[in-house]
Amino acid sequence: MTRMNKGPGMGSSASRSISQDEKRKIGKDSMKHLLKHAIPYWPWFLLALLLVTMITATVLVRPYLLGLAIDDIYLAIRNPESVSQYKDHIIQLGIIFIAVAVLQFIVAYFNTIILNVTSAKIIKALRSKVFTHVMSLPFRYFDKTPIGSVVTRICNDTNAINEMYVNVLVNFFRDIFMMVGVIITMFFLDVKMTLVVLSVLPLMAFAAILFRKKARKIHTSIRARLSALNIFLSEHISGMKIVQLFNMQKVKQSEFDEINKQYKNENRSRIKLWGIFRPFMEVVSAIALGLIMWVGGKDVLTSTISIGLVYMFINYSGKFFQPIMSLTEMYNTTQASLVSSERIEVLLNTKAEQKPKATKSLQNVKGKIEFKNVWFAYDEENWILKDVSFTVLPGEKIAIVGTTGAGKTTIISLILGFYRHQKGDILIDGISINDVNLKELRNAIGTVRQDVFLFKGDIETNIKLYNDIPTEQVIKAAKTVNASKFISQLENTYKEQVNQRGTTFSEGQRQLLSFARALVNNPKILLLDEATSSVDTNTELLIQEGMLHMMEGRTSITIAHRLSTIVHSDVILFIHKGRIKEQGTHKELLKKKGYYYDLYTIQFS
Amino acid sequence: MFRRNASKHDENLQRGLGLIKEFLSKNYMKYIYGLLAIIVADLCTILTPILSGRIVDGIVDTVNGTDNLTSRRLLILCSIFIGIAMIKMLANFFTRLFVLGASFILDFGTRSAMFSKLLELTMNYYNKKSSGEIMALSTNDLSAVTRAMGMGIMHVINTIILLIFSVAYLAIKLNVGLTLAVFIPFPFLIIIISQFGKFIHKRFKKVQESFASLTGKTEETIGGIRVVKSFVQEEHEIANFEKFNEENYQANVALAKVRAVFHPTLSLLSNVTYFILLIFGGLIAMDGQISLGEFIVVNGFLGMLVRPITFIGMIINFLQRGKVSLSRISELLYQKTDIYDGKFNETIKEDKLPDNLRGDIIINNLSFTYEEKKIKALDNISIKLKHGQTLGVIGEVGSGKTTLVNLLTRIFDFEENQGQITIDGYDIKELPLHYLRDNIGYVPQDNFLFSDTISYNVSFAEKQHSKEEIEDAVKKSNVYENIMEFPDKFDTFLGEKGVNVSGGQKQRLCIARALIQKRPIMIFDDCLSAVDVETEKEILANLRDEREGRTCIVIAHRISTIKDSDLIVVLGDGKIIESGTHDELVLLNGEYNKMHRLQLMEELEGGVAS
Repeated sequence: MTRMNKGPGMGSSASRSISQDEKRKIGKDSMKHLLKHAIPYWPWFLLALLLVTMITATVLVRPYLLGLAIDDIYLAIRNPESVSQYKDHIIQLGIIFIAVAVLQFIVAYFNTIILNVTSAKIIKALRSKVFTHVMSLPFRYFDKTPIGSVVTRICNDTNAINEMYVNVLVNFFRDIFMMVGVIITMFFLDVKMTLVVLSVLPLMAFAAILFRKKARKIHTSIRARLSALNIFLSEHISGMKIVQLFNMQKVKQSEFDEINKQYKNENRSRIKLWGIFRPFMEVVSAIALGLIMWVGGKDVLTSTISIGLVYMFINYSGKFFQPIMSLTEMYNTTQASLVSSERIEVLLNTKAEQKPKATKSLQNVKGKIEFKNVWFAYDEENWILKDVSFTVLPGEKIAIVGTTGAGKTTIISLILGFYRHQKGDILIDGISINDVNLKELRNAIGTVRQDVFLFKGDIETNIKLYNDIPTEQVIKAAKTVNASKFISQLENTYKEQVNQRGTTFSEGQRQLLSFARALVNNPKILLLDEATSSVDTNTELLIQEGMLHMMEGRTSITIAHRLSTIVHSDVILFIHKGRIKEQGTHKELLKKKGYYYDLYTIQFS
Repeated sequence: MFRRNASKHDENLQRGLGLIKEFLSKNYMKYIYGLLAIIVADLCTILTPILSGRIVDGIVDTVNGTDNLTSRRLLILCSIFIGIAMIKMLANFFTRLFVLGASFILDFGTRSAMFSKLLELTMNYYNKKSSGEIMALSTNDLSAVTRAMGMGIMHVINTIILLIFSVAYLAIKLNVGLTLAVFIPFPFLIIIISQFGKFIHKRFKKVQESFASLTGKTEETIGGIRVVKSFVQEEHEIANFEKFNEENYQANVALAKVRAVFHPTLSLLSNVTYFILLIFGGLIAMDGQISLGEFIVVNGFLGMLVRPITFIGMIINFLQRGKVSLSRISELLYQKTDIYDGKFNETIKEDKLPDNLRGDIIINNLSFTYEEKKIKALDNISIKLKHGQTLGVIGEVGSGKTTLVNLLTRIFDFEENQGQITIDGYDIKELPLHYLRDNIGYVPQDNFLFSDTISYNVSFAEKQHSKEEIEDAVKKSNVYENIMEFPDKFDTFLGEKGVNVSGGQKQRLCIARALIQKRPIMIFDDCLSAVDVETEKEILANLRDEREGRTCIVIAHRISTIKDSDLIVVLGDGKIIESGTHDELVLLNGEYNKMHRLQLMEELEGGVAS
């Protein structure tokens, strides 16, 4: 039993783990790519930055006011006779203090709103852009790319970028502003004391640089270990049957424990590193604090500066060192966002489906289809179709038969313009499909695919899809293809809900629905890929009848597996290894006693 | 994941807590050391403002002439600061080392136990759970538990101790009125944090839900992209996607609105405490009820308490998520495996069994139905296979071919009254599982290989094989020359990180992996589908010698693969519809012959005279 990997379900974990290869790709341009999504919103970011500046200012005012209050208390104690004057003053300070606090509240509120909303807008727009682009990608892309990874690009990677905008970017500016703000304020207050605070800066910078280097190494290594752990796990979940059949449980357990142990050890190193760095930084701030107290204290004793000023500096020095620490620690979040942004960039740079220059219009299609010496290969090398030529007149029913891999489905894909043929020409009503608008082309054609795909929604929507088609027409189409019978027996008839992939309906019912879907906008051309799966005799009859009804008065090309379809066709094409080997009516071909005869006798006699 | 009923959840949680208890009983000393270190660190933390207060009072008194704080004494006091900070640094270091270190011991042990459980669980479990769900246990859930038992516990203990110390000091040493006044906003802070927390959590869940439906929608559209394109629905799909995108956006905005109030409110409340200190404390300090130094002490205490208290919300969140994740993990850890020794009858002791089985296989009236399905996957199958014979199994997709070998290898177990399989007269259900599988060589249908070197993959067994054996095996499966063309030969890495090997090469490596073991029974599950007819012929010729003296079961789609079998069975809807040798079946002119002729036709190259 092979198990399907539910790709998108893994979204947050495995699919977001970063491969070595991707890490290499993160270059100088990555940050540019990441930031460019924000460009249309620059006024909002500017406003946010302005507000951040204001918040920084309000944060800086607090120690200043408290410092003044301390001076008031100090003076009040020294001059008890004018206590009431100082009391008035401290109450004034209190009022300013609370006013500033309220201002800070308001500004911070708007700042958060603006940032989050703008960021949500960016992500919304980006997601929409990515999705729109994905919709325009050619079949080849979806042939190669698993659904899960496309979904991850659209949904999860955009989310990771959001993280960047909301958290990293803002914190970065907040930290920078805070540092700059503190330095300016300190210099204004007292130059000597400022120099005292700054004197520990080299020590701090040294520690930060050292730490950053080590931390980057450890974090990279932890991430690599974690990713190895996840890969191992996910691989062994898929390969569990092999592990068990080969009695390899013990070996695998020890292999796993080895990787697991490495992960644990790396984490231990991280704990140690952080355990040293953070407290070390605190020691450095304590040194600054001691210096301020000592130098400041001496000056207070000689009454050169006030005690409130010393308080202010103690406070500001803390506010100065904090951003240095958080800036040092920021590296990690950025990495994940950069990787996601790169992935999206790659997707957006994938070329969209080539749209032919629509020089001619396909109006009032009559339904003539011509293949003129068509050659096609998926990979420019192995020809799937070799020099295929045939003509279908309006109203004719063509059946294509042949063994598997002969190139039958390719013919249908080419008519719809899903792939471009390399040589020859395909014409509809005498107009080359290379000259018409893809939409017009596909709108003129009704298609039934072998694997019926139903969408979540009701029956009606599944038939008409999103086209603006009246219900009567939907019902008419359903009647024509014999689907109306089972639909009318459903509890909510045409409004009956269909779950994802339509698993509550039988194979036969789904086929009938796909007939109705192909027929509903009354196309002149039908392309059908008959399902090979067997259904019960009753349904089989319904399907056969339904097909005959829908083909009436239309040009149809059917990849046929049913005898009834074949027998009722005007022309049968026998395709073998990319070439048309035989062509004619059922009777003619039987008489020939060639390929078709062989196939017919094997399958149907 | 959310639909699980409450009682089951409780049961899982209880078991989960049991796991934590067990872990604590082994590692409690680490937490005790951690606690001691936290106490030391917190003592240092509160000493800092107290010392600052002392210095300030010393300065004030000296200026007033009631004390004499010399420059030297000042220097000593200031150096004490640095000394305290250093002690604190050490204490903090050890706290992290003990508590966080312990949490990673838990992380390691649990992950290892989870994997060990995964090795034990059978396909019945794997068919029910998506690999994404299982992966999430190891990535999201386990890290949530680790964080709760590390960071979470560390912060909670730290905050509580800090709060106790500072309140006690203030109340004993300082003015009780001021203490009370300053701490008035704290209960509000805690209430607001927990209430807001719920609110934020609700909106956050909305965001997650809208994200889930966005993902669901995207998944559906991309899954049906061929229909979308055939019916020119791209623009409508984009419009539809926009709806979900918009919903997600609105949910994000709604969350942002609450968050935008939350954090500023916390700052505002902390500012209110400072405001109270400023007015109330300032006034009583001016009246001389407290000293300026004491004013500074209170100020310092506020500074060190506000942050941990605002963190409490986050920590509670950590702990809650840890709890939920813990029950999910324990659900896995207490999962019962459904295939094990002694499940049916007593298992025969290994020492009473021969070293190797001979390989006389008898399948008797075997029927099997998969758990979730109603239709029988196998219906009354009986096959007799003697030592050294080869059985060919052919039939359409879903006809029960793989199920048959899954039952033989006990990847699945059939019900007791649903038939019997014996090998050399032993009921396979009475053989030790390990022993049974040790006697069977298996080549899987999905040619699964591990992301490791070629030699690791070929020599995939508890006992390592020699280089010669490996070379011999890959030569027999016709992949030796391919391997020699790879840059690192046998050390070539397979999988994402290594070279890309074709499906055919993978299949041949899988064959080598089975051949090297030299087991008395060999199963080839449709393992030549991706190699061309010529290569198939060569491999079959090589295998012919290998098959000598071994019982083989070969599943195939191509007649050519099984033509030479001693017995061929054609399966259809779980039943044997035809059986016999190739010649007999061709003569029978039934399903088998039909397939045979169709395949002959497919192989035709060039034109047949028409």
